[in-house]
Amino acid sequence: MTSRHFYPLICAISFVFPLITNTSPCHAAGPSLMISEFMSANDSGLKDEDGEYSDWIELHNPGPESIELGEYALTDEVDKPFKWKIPELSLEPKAYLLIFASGQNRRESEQTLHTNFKLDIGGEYLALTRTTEPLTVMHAYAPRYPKQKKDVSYGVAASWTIDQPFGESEQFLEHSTPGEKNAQPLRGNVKSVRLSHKRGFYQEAFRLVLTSSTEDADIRFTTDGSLPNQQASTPYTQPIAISKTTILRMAAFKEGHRPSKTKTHSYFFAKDIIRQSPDGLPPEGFPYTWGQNQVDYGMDPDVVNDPRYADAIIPGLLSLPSFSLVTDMDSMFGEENGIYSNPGEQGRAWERAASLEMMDPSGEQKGFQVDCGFRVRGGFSRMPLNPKHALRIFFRDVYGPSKLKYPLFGKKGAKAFDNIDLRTFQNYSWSFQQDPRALFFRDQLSRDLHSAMGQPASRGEFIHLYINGHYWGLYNTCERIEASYGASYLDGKKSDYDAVKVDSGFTTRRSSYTVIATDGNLDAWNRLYDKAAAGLENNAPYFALQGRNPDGTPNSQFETLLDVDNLISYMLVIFWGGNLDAPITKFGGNRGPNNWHGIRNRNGKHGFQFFVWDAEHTLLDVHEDRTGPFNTGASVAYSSPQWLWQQCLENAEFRLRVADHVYAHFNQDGVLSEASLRESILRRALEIETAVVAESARWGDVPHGFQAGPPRRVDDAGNTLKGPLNRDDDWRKELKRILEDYLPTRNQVVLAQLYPHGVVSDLTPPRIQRSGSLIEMKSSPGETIFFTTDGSDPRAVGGQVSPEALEYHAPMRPERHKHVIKVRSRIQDEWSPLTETKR
Amino acid sequence: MKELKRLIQQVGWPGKPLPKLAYLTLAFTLPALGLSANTEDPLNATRVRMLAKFDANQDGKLDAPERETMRLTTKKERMSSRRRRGGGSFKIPASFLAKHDKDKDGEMSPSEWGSAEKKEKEILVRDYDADGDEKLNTQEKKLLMKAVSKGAIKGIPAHYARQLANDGRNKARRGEKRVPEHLVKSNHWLSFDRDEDGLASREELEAIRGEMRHP
Repeated sequence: MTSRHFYPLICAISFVFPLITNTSPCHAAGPSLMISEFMSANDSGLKDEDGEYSDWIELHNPGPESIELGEYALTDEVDKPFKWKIPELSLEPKAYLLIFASGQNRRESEQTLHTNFKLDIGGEYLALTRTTEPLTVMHAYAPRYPKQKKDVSYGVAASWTIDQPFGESEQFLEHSTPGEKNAQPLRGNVKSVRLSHKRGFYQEAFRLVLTSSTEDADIRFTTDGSLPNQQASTPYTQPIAISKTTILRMAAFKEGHRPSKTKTHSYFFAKDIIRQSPDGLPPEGFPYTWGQNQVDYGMDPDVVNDPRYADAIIPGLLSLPSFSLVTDMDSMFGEENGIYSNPGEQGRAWERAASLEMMDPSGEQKGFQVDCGFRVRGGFSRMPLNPKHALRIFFRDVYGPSKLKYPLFGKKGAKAFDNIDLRTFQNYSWSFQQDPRALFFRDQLSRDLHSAMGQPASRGEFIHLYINGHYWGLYNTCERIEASYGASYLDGKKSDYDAVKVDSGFTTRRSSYTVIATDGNLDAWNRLYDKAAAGLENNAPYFALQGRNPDGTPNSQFETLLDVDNLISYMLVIFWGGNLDAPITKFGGNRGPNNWHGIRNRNGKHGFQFFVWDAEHTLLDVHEDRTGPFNTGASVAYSSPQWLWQQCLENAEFRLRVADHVYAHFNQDGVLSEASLRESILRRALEIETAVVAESARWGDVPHGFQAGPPRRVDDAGNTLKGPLNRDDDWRKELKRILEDYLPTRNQVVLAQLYPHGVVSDLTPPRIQRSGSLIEMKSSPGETIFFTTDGSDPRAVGGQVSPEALEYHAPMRPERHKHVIKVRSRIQDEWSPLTETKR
Repeated sequence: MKELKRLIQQVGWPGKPLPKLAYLTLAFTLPALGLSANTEDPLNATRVRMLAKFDANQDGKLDAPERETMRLTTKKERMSSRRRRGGGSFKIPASFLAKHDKDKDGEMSPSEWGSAEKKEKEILVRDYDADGDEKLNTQEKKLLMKAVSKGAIKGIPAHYARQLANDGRNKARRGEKRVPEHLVKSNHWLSFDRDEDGLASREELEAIRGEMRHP
């Protein structure tokens, strides 16, 4: 046996044996080196030099002599005692050394050290060993340390003394101290700070009193968005005079106790908000630069002092609920760390902690405060040229509650949210491209219309946003279309859902502009594509997609992959809006998909349902024709609802179903009738009419950075307009164009575009009149009227009269039915669109 | 009748002038369908145009087979028109069709277009990859673009070559869309940041305002 073979044997005997007999090896002459603390569930604590929350291990020299660390190693395996040898370093007496257990294996002694292994949250062996004679385990957490807690370290108690064995002193350390002496265990929580005044909007100055019911608590506060601490934050010694917009974050501290939870309260004074940074300089405490991003601060005096807006600017600020986002300046604007300064960055690494408050100046809504995470969101709008970025708010237990429990969208909306979007108006906005066509509700209107058609849609409302107390303009809340949406509004659990969308946007990585799954997987979407690509002209494959037999009756053996009614109504919204950028994009030659979301419950009965998303490129040219067909959907990666629509159009049953929807939505009081559309548009316009004045003051004067400038602004006499974009000169003009030019003819234009596709009927359904309890139906000469009372279609698949249908002859007095009466007329082989009685 | 003729002229009648019988038929059938010679109404105008074009049996209405002919004709016309637009002046040559029309139906389906594009781009890369690294560098892209401008790329849609030559330009464009220097007034403010913390203090702001008043 050579020495090469003999050495591992020696190691195995000398290391394994003491571990079997004693979980913590002795240190007869007192320990000379120890693992004083480690963290294996680092979720939001100490970051390494790469910005990662790596595990870490702290070594401590408790003795009176320096120790040469080159003689020692760290390991998480009993069989590999020298798994990671510590480089040649000297550790002074009483000193600490921090080593990240990231698996990166960085051993350069002048740089941050990283072991070649990570620590297991579930518990494992961890030891410090000596690599020179006498070979020994200096300190081991053996046979394994216990299962670890998130952001809580484990190690030797602060009360440990050099003559004690380690084992009795090993414990969880709630207050981790990497690289420093371990903290004493904490004795209970300091009670929260109580405030004498609620958050919200004030007109008069007041004195704010802070109290804590914990005796001798030391209350500290900040006004710059940062979290309070006992070292640097202002101590509360007397009531605080609040006479201007102020963002307060406060906590109570007491030696040996856990600090109280930080509270955040925003106090707004509209009269000083309208005067914020009138010269465009940063407000005090705000950064001069936002990294690579264009900077813009302040309320433009040209708008604030404009006599037209003298009575509108403050009511405009108070006309909508306000969101106050409070965070430390570095998280938002720091050159390296700030998400606003690096707007192209995506993912969890670019999520930062904040407080979000909602305040309703009208008092109608209760409002909330929640600690949360936030990121920059969006595609095109992420460009650094855009000073007003869209944001996404995340609710996670690392920040506060794991859900926001608040009815953000009224009684009919969800009551709890994993996240919400705060949308801006990237295209056709004042802030980004200085576009006088800014309307601010193009996308919201499309979502409203789809919802009004009885389909699930992303809800949204308008709000004002403040960042650390500085007014940030008009924003639009928006629900994310993902598994949690399905579980909230449809059926089943989050885990039941596949959520698909297009990977797109201006980010630091290159977007693929292909279909991806954000929840679940693409298996069902791939099956849907394959079946649709094989052809849907015949009823068998067409109805099979809907979980039905060729005669349209349900078949539980078939999986439901497509919600045809949802697809039709989705596409009608797209067509009416003349949407250039969804679900396929004109900017990509009408080939590739963009801006659509779809979800499907794998155990549900609906099939894929589609959602209007980012409908910014809408309401433009009244003659815009998006009905296609287009050379799109060349592969499943580039598929979209529009491609499905084109495939389905080959089927006669589908075309009749479209004709039914066209009649229902475009005629009389349908969602896409002129009267209903006017009402939908005006509802949103009136909602933001005064708020737009504040948006104008904040963002109406941003210089545009595009080579091709925005469209020229002219007044009614054709003179070029100068000065900030504003409500009366620009927003109202665009609204007027929509109401007077686009709206009156658009639905007839769209019907004309749809007609050659064979989806607009030349027949009109029978007219149904009620006279007391009598129902009378009238149709054109030569047509026969058929109706049902069980909710089914009077026409059977294939064109025959349904066995359930009755022929109408004379006014009738129907019984009270559970279902509406459904009616069609027929002439020769042709059926009218479906109509029905109102409930 | 005059009104109807005016309408048909206004909505852009394709092909030959209509026979007199067609005008007569339309004049009687439009009111029955609830249509009028109202050019203000795009739907009615389209109906009239489609009726005149596809009412093969001239009974004054489009029955199911006629509507299907209308639909298929519309689809064919639009797809071929879009193909033309997609490929600039590209008209599918027989060699291209022979190579990529896998099902030999004489048409290029979307999936056939997809695989054709991929294959033809691979061939272009091979042809212009002078250094043999299986991708086009800036110089090679310039040569390809030169060939496009000279019209030397034949037999395939020119945008295949343009896309390859412009590949990576998006990245450059993103670079261009960084904030132009003249817009970054905030950089000038930094010279007042005496404590170099990047944040505006009251004293620093007063100094900047002083300079703004007396530049």
